[in-house]
Amino acid sequence: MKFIIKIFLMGILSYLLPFYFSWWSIALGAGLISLLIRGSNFNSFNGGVIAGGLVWFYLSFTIDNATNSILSEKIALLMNLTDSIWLIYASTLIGALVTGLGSLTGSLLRSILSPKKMSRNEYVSYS
Amino acid sequence: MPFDNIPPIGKLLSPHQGFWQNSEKEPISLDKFIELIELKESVTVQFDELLIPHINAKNNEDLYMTQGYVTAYHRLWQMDFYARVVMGRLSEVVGIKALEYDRLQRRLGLKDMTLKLHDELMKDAYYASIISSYTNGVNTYIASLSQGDYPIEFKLLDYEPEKWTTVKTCMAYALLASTLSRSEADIEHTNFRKMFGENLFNVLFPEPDGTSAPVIPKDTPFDFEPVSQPQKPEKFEVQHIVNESISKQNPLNGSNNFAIDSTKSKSGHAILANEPDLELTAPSIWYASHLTSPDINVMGVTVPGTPVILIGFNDSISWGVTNSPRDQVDWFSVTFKDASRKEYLYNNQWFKTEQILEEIVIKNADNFIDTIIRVHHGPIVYDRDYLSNHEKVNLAMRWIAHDESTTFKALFNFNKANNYDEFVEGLRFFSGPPQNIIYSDTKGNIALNLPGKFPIKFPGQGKFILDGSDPDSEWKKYIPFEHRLERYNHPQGFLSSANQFPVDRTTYPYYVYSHRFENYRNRRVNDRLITMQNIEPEDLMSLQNDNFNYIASEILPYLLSQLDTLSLNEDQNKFFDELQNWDYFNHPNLKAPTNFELWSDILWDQLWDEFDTMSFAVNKPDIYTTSQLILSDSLVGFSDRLSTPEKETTSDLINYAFDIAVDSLNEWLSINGKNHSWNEFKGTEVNHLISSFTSFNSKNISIGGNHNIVNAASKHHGPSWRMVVEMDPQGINAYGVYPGSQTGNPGNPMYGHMITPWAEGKYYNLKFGQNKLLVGDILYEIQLTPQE
Repeated sequence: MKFIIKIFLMGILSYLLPFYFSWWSIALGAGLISLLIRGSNFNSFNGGVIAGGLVWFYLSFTIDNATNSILSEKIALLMNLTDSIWLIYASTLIGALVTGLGSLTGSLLRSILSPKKMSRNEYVSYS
Repeated sequence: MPFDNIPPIGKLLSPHQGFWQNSEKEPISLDKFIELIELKESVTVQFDELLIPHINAKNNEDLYMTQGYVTAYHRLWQMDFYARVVMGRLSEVVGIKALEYDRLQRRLGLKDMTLKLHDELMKDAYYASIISSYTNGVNTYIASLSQGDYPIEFKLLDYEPEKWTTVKTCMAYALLASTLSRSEADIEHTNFRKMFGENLFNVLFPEPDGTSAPVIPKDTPFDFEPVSQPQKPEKFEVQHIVNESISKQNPLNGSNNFAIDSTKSKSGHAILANEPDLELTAPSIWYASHLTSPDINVMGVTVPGTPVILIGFNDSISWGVTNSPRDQVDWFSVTFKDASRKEYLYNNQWFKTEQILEEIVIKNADNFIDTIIRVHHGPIVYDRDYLSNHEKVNLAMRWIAHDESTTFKALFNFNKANNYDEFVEGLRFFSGPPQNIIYSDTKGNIALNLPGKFPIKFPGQGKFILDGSDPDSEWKKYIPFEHRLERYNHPQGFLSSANQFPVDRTTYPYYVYSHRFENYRNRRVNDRLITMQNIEPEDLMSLQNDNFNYIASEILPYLLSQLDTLSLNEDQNKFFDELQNWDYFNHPNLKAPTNFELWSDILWDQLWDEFDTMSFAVNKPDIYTTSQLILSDSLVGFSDRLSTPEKETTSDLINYAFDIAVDSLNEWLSINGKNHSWNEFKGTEVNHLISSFTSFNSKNISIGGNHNIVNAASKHHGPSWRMVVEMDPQGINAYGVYPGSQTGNPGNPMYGHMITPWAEGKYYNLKFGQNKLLVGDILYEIQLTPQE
């Protein structure tokens, strides 16, 4: 459940933040969520990938669909791509990776900054 | 990837800020209600179905501010690009490949011209207010943008729009002067004369006498006492050989305009037509608008970034322009005292030079500093750092466009003129680039004027490089405005111009010279207008789209007569038949124009192959002179092909070129796999200003015509704006079209929407009136209000 909530929150931030800040603010948003909500590094990365990927896929797909690929076809040609669908995949991939890596960074930062976790482990090992 | 500088991929592909945001579903995405700081009263802008803004303001400041705002909305990147072209700042955004271009622009002094014009205009409160308002409008638009809103070109080249300035609002003058008044061949002529002598030079590069359909009809009297002309000095030129000359304006830049008066017109109203033939670019060089305030009601086109209508009409008059080739540039050879270049020789004395350091910022490279020396003639363009090839040649450029210009004021006067007298008052301010300015009004009058600043020269002055140390070689006086070339109405019922020689040399007391003039379009237009009667606007549209190939009509019968037809093979016979059955019209679906183009081009190349072996800058004789030499069989030995031991005659050469033309056609057919109809072979294109953005181009546009044809659409050049205006006092009937679209965004559904109708010769009705548009004509309407 916590995993789903994290994905949901990271998705919201990935959707909203770039309206006000640079495009890579999606990494900061995801990082913040993983810093605040505990999870394994693996799950944090995966959550970010899913959230960022879904949001960027949804946005690029809906724009492309609504405008009949009017510009994506031209940009695809400039990049020597055979089909504009590749640009949606590429946007999805970038959104996914950047959000995922941001989330992973947040999670790693949390383990560095979190003394409680350490002491409990120590307690367990001594018992 | 085709670009050298790969844009940051994350930013470009971001759905919030990247290219996705430039994909538009609707043609217009502006808010319906916009609040603007500094607006005085509310303004309405109605966009018609062509996306032309009809701006209705209650005062001029608001009018020009709104013009700046909506022009930026459609063409912001192009405006930024033009400003960089003029200021020599392209390298900043496209990198080192633009360095030589930027250097030339700065050496030509385009930046200085713009600054000078700006400072002059800003001294006058009236023009300062217009320029500041327009600039404010552009900046208000830029300030309203978020990263995602930037035009796509900014994203692909990875830079951001910078603040617009009042200086940039004045850039069009230098841009147009450089496009239109910089044509000369002084260096090429000097080289040729030195190597081959004056006699051959005069045969291959003759001066026209102006007796064949000049701009000003031959019966026009010039009953004034001319200003005395300077005496031709004994020696005023220097002998140099310069290996390479600077890039020049394209010789295919040209235009047609014509007007008929009430006697020729079916409705009894004058009708005016104009089309400037320029490089076909995306976004188009023109932006159409309709500007209304209590003070003004004018419609037409202008260069984006410029707050005035350059070609257009109001409710009383209409005007249009074609370039008038006149030698506006002379080169002066300068001798420095020593390598420090601090002093130069003039009138047997040493004078101080001025040294300017131009720093050019280059993307992904170190800045480049160019040292430009100025003498009293002007900037030294050719020197040890630029194109002199260590030959120690220093050439200073004397260009009229460097002088103070008041052309802006002329155009504002045209915009508001109510009659011919007011129009002529405007002409007084017109200082260049030299144009044949055609005029018509609602009273049925027509006129042609060639205003501008022209030095009074002795015959031959400035055809070759001049001696910069000799005061006698310089320009001293200028032709007075009252002595200009002018024609107001004419019994023949029409006036026209097409870049030809302006006047019968025997009637006009001043020396007129340029190295190149049109010799075909002017005659075709005049031939047609003489016979046409009861003319309606549609007839002038047909004339603008006329495909008659005058060159072919004059020379093809002779070429065919010289062919040895007995020995033709099957392919050659077919090629021959297509030409023999041709009526000389370059219609898009015909094959004969392709055959003629191939044959005549190869003939021209083979004929002047001697020029290809020369290692210094030189021009080949033009097509008209070449045709005349062929027809009179006086090719003075040039018919010999250098690559063969035989001495070919003209006839041999014609037959040889024919064989090669057929082979070339077969090769073209095997490569392209389609038929050789003229439109397919010519393949007219409208290309984006950034050449690597290939998918923003339009290729293989099906249009007839060619260079030297009234419908002057060649591969990359052509009619950049076609306008026909019927001057009905009850309401102007205006029609127009251009190969492009108001929107400059390749992601807009209307991007380039007028290209196909333009190619087919169709026109749009330009909605014009003092009152607001009819509801049915409005595509989108916005209200701009002062910010509370």
